[in-house]
Amino acid sequence: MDASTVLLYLFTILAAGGGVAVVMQRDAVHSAVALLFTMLNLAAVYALMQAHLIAALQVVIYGGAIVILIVYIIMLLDVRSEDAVRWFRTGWLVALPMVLLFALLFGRAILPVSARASTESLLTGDIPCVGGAKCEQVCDDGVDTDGDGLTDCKDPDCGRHMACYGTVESVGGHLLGPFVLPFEVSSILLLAGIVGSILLTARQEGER
Amino acid sequence: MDAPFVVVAILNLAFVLGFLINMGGMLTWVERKQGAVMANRIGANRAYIPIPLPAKGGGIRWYKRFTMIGLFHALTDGLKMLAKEDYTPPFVDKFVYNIAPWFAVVPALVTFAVIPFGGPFQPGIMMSDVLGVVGLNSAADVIHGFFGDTTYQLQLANLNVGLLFIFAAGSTGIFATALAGWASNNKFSTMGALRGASQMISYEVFMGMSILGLLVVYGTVDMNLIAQMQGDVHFGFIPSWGVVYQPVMFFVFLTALMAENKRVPFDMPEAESELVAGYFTEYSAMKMGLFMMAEFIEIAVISGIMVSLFLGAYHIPGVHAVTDSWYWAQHPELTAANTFWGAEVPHAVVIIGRVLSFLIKVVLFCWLQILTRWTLPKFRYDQVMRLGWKVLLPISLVNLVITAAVVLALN
Repeated sequence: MDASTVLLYLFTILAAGGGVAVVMQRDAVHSAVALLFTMLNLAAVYALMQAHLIAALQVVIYGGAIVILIVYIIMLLDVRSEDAVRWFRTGWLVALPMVLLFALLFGRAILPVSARASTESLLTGDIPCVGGAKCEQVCDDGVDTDGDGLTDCKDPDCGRHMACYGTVESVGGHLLGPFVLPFEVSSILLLAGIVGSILLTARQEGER
Repeated sequence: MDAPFVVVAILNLAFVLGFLINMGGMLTWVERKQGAVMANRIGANRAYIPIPLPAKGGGIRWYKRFTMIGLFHALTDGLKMLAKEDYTPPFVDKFVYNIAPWFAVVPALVTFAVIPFGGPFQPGIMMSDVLGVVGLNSAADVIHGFFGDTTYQLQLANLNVGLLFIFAAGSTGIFATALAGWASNNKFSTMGALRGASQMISYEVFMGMSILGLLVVYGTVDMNLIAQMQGDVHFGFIPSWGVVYQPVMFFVFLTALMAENKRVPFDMPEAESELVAGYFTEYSAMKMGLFMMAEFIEIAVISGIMVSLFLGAYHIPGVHAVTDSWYWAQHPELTAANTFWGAEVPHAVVIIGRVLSFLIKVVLFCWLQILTRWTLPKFRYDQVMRLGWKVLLPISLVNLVITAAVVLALN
């Protein structure tokens, strides 16, 4: 086991520990701090898996934006810790089977994928083109090999190349290339969420 | 990882940490001295180190004028913070109260990791240049043999996500304000924390928006590459610095960064005239010192970010190092060399000049920020919010659209 594998396991365990701490804390803000701890450890896991962009976005969005809003709302609502404690005395009876069921389903979904991923490693040399079609063959020469206007890492063909995997260019090329439709649909969904929440909370005409 | 790489990394780390900590200390003095000079006072000039001198009639006379124009105030300030009673009020949430200051200091320190302060360089050639002048030719050969002709970066971490790392570190800094205010269990602190969190979240939004135009121009978020791209000269005299491409965003981004740092005129979370000291009212001794240190270190960090994005990073117009791979790729008709407006100069001169140029630009920016702090009156809370959402955000959106259209048209 090399150093990065040891670190990977360490951060995974810390992230899981943070997750347990989120539900075990009596105080809501302590839970939020534990959640932040989990998010930062997950970012470290992503970084160790060469997904640097995802790691940075994990800290910006989940760590910076979402957890800080949770803390903000806890401060505004002045949540009392006693309510939660009362729930804890019986709540675990419901929670434990749910956790086990979720772990089972999630494991069933994830394990085949991760087993496949562990056998596929990153490419280093030239990219083999599928079925004789033209593709970006050399991913680190600064030349647009297949003439589709996308150079090196910006071309989705290079997604699994050592020099490109997880970089901003590669993820961006995928998002605005093959996955542009889901990407735009999710942005419209988010916009609908914003408009909906404004509509729900806005005062009506004549209402005080 | 080979030995020369580790040596360069350790030297980079030592430079960055030494620079930031010293700037943090120095700026506490600069803040007071510059404020005093601007208000036509004499300012911080009393702290001295007593020097024993022989007195006329025998014995010892203490010379008490060794004040170094007040520079020792920074030192005495640190000693005072360390020596004071570290009082933890009984009503605070101990755990959150104790970790909150670290959320202020750590992001301020790590942000500088991705800022290139001297660009790519060849330590072997540079050191043998320097030692050759002094006459230590044998030592020069040893060092040249150790480093070889390999190129290293004068930057702590050459990350592909560069700029996003700065945003990531900056966004965790908000926790210091929010958690400190909540843990203090005090109405003033909670008020300050609520103001701080909403102000920083808002300004984070259009801080990102305002920089998008520059990213469209450069086409990368890699800080090292952004710095290299500012090394060219247009029409023979206009440096290709970020401020030339995005003059409006230069001011918007600077405003956003200063609002993130919560200093006057954006010091709503502290607001000593309304909230005592805002979110750190209940902190004392070095815990309060950490908040203060983070604030001053952040002045230097903000300067570093602004300089590397908008003011040509370490570049001096017309000066090129042999290691500027981007510049020589842009100009295939030229052969790579260390040049000063066409004349060849030693590698060491270019690199040392670049580090000095970076430091001078950073210091000038620190001066500008303190100048702003002592010039502008404090905003009201609703004015801060209105400036952000109704003025700066629309400006940056319009700028982004125009920039994208221009870049698309030119391509």
